[in-house]
Amino acid sequence: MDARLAEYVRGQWPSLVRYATLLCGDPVEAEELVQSALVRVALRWPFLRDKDDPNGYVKRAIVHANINRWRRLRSRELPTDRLPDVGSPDALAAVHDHDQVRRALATLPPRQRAVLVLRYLDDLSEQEAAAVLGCSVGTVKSQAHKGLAKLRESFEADGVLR
Amino acid sequence: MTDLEQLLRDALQEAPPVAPASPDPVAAVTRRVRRVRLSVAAVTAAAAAVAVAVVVPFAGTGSSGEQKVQPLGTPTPSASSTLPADTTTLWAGGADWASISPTGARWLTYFDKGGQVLSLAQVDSAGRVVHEAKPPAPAGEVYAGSSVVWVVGSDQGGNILSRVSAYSTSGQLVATKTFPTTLLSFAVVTGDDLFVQTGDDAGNNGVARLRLHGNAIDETDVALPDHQGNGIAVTANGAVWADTEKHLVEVQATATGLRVGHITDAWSLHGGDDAKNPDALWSADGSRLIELTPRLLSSGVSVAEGDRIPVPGTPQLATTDAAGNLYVLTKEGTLYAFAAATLSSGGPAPVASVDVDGGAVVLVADPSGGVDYVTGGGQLLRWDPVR
Repeated sequence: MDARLAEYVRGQWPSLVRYATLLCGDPVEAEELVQSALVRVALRWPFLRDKDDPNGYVKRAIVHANINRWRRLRSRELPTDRLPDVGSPDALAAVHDHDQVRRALATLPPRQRAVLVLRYLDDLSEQEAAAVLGCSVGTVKSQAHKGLAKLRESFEADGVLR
Repeated sequence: MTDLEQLLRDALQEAPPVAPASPDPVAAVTRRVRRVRLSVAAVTAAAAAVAVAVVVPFAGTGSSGEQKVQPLGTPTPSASSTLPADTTTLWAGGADWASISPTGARWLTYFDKGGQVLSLAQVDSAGRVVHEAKPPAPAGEVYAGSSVVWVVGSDQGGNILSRVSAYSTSGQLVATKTFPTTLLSFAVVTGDDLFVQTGDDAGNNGVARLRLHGNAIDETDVALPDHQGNGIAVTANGAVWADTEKHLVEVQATATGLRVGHITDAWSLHGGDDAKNPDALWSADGSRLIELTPRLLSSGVSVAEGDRIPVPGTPQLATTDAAGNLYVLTKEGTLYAFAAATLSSGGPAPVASVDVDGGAVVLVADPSGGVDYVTGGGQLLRWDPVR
């Protein structure tokens, strides 16, 4: 492995695993996602233009690895329009528990999840998120809208958000 | 920004750190990269896209074996209490590649902790170091000839750079040669000549023969007809065949250099050591291992007249030991042994199997019987289950 990439991996490994965990909801699976993404990056390393700052490229590879993983597993997953129950009698307090928000996020389909992570964690614009995902700006908008709508619907149903 | 968007932003940005389980992610990724590049398994669609992007050497595999990378301590051999039956530890951690010379000398390359510095070592049947050296970078795989030990490496960082180094059988560096714009991938050794698949940014795909001449390495090249190198194997009789995904291509030596000889249809290539048939190569069709005899092309006979051996998995690597026992590693990560006596029975079945930690990257016949293999976890193990 190139020395610059190795240094990057050593320094960024925990944050990359955290990032992947937010995308897939499972820290064990997240490590596998990050390794898969880094293998892809290492194979294409000679062709990377910005070798001193590969973060964007690596994150994009993680996002795609997660979406590809979901495609492989979707025959076993059953996406629904309705989120599983997330509320509790004191749901108003609970929703402000960020952990609950992250758990709710993890129930969204991967592409919606990826759009929300790119937009609200990485602070990418819709254009930038579209470039990462390789889709149109319109798709980013619609996926973000659907994802937020599902979160809102769930929280409003529980009387949390009005 | 709405209340929900703000809530989501806060939740994401305040997500707690996670404690990764991998003790050495660089070593883990390095090994996976190596496996992708060097496995001779079938190419998945995704990896094929990578292969196109990087021209030739990255004819990847869909190998899905989970990497279980262990902390790489000082790589001194040690016995393990959890070894499978009939298994001997020859190297405890950090092993990268192994090769057995025609004279029975066992060589390996291994990484230090961190997966950055690679060393070359000859070890005996108890795992004791006989000779040791630190090849100049980039270095990776070892291929042992009768009197020359070759070390091949490619570095994709920034500009492409590959290097081949030739060592004496006492571990002395004799010569080294760099390839500034060529990626070197799969290789075999026959006699003392190294045949290695080559590729470059321009999409050229070929085979180079490297021969030690005094203190210099002579290079002879031949271009292959397709734009992808998937593997290379040599029969016991010394015939070299390259897998280009679309064809098996024979590389013949002439008085003046190399040339492309026979070309077969598309067959995957999983090894060239067949004690029963010195002209055979191992291929596969689904879960059946197939003994190919490409030499039959010259007499107008199907190359696939040989044995069909059903395997409980998808064959990835195959070899036989001196007694004719067959060993097959599957992409699912299990190594199977078939006794020589059963191979011609019409319905051979494995007599033993062992699960391989993280899959294996190399499988070679051990001079004392059985096979040596390097696990994805960095162990060099000998397995000899057939009595």
